[in-house]
Amino acid sequence: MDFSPTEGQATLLASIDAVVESRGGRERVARVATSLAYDGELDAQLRSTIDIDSLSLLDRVLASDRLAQAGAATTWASRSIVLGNGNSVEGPLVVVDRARSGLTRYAPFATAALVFDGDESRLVQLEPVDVEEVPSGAGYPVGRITDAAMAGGQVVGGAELRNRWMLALATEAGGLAAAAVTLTSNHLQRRKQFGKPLAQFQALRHRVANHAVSAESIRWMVRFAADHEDERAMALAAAYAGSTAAELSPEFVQLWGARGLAHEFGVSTYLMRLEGIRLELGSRDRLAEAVLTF
Amino acid sequence: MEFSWSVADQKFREELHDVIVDAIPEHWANLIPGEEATSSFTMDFSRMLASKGLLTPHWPVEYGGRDASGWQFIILGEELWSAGEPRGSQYMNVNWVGPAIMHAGTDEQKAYHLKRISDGDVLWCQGFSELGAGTDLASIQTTAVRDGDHYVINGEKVWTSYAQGAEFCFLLARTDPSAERGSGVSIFLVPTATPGFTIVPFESDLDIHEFNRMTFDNVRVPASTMLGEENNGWKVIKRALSHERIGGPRYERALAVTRRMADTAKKRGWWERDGLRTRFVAAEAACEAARVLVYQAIDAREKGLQENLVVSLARVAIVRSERLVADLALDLFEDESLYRFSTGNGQFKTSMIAGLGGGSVEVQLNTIARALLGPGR
Repeated sequence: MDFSPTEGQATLLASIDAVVESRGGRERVARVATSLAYDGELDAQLRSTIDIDSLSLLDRVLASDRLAQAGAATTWASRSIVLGNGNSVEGPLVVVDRARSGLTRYAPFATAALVFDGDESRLVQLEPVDVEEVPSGAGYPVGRITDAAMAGGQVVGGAELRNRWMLALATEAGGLAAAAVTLTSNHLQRRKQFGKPLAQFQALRHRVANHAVSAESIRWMVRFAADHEDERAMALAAAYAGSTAAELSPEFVQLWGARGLAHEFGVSTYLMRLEGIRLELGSRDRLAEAVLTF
Repeated sequence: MEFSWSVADQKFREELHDVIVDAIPEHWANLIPGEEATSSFTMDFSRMLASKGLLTPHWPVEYGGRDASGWQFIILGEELWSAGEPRGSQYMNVNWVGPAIMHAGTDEQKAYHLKRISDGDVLWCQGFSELGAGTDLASIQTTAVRDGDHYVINGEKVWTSYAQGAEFCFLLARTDPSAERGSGVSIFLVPTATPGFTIVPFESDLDIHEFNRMTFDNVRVPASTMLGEENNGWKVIKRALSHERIGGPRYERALAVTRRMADTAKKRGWWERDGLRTRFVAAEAACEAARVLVYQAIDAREKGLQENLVVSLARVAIVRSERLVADLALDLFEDESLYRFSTGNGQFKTSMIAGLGGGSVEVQLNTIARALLGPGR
């Protein structure tokens, strides 16, 4: 057992940082995110720089965590967690459950959708007519995949892809939560009220500490699940991540005050995305039932 | 980064598991650690583990171990806590008393105490808290005054678990009353049979775990009972507490309780009760969260890295898991938990201890906050 990144993993993370930097750094990434666009430029650069098919599931999780922390608007790493090799999709992949609303992140930009239909997983090539763009309420561009589109496609797998999808979402939740802990910690040290930094109020210190425990729990649970390729552990990590994201999103807004909702302070995207991920994962009850199918 | 067990560690877990299954009476699975902490069964069990080299496998050979990896420390804890902790109070010996003596003891202290601990042959208690110094341990007022080749100890320690059967007390006393807080504190390894040392139980509602008041009335101990340097015990104690905070893998026992409760819920037809299954999954997830954070702390310890932050993250997660399981147990069994020896009542009590034993968990929140937010003032 070894919790330190291998040399290869450290190189992978450095490569991702370098790609983000080469495409204008976090400032541009944040601009894309707040404009609710998809970062096709970053996606293409990641695709051409890093051979994701050569990476293990754990490596892909580490990559996705890194991109979530950077605030990137790309599915480059997460789609490789879900689809593995051999079904690569160039550009944003969206994932929908036919039994649900059809609403999903990144749909207005998607070229393909993975549709869960009972125990079947189908890959659908999308045309513009297959997607209805809707106003986004949670940090990502959102659209609805039509019923007709969800009925089609090629079978690419079974229920196991659902667990991979939950792992991918939990991974993003962990990265977003970790970034939110860091950004919030920095904010509380800078922001003064009542004559002293907010970071000196114990009522806030303990809350941030508890959120750090939650964020790190998600991140290590998904890493364990990925390394062991254990589907039940993936579902359990998703249940923990969903529940935790539901708590953290309003909590962080409370710690930031109104600034947590305003774009100019650089945190709103993270806080809204935590909620977005939680909603896409589904309710605590739904996630619990997924665990109990094993 | 990879999370598989080594062949040796996996083999150790299997060997240990088989030994536990063979040795433990059925009722032990339902005990809360501490409920039967100093019985003759726990003594026999610890001696048996020691005879098979399973009590202190991660210790160096010279101190009665087998030089195994530090991961076997946590495997040992997980397997035994989930079985009700049949080492009784001896888990403390293995977790932090022994390591503290290994770290700071004289050759004579190591030879005597480590052998007895690794043989499973001795019970210890810890003389830390006082009425005026609980989590704020640096405020202790018990004194030890040098008198020739001896020290004379006066004062009172409280909330002490396992003292009734203990042969030695790992005692913190102030040797320099003029020094500030942690400075001027020394550690003594005090035989509980020393004249002037009295132990009286506290009456309390914590029936799973006996509290004691220990009084020191001119207790004379040889200077050779001091562990480490005079006035410099604080460093030793900080290290020992770090071991103690994650030494009891409560998440593993809480997980076992959760699974037993799920079986009960299914048998009684409660499994479909509104929201119940979701809470079972949340409880399991909290236990697994604690597990991965404890493993992170063990990894840091194995690598000799700074472990304050990761130990603190782990302890908070452990406490959260115990509380979540307790809340589930109480809601599941409702009025049945009024009964003192019920699963719900036991889990309720042990979850309260989880946040207090070894110091209030708020200290760990402070440690995490300090790492993230800087000093609090």
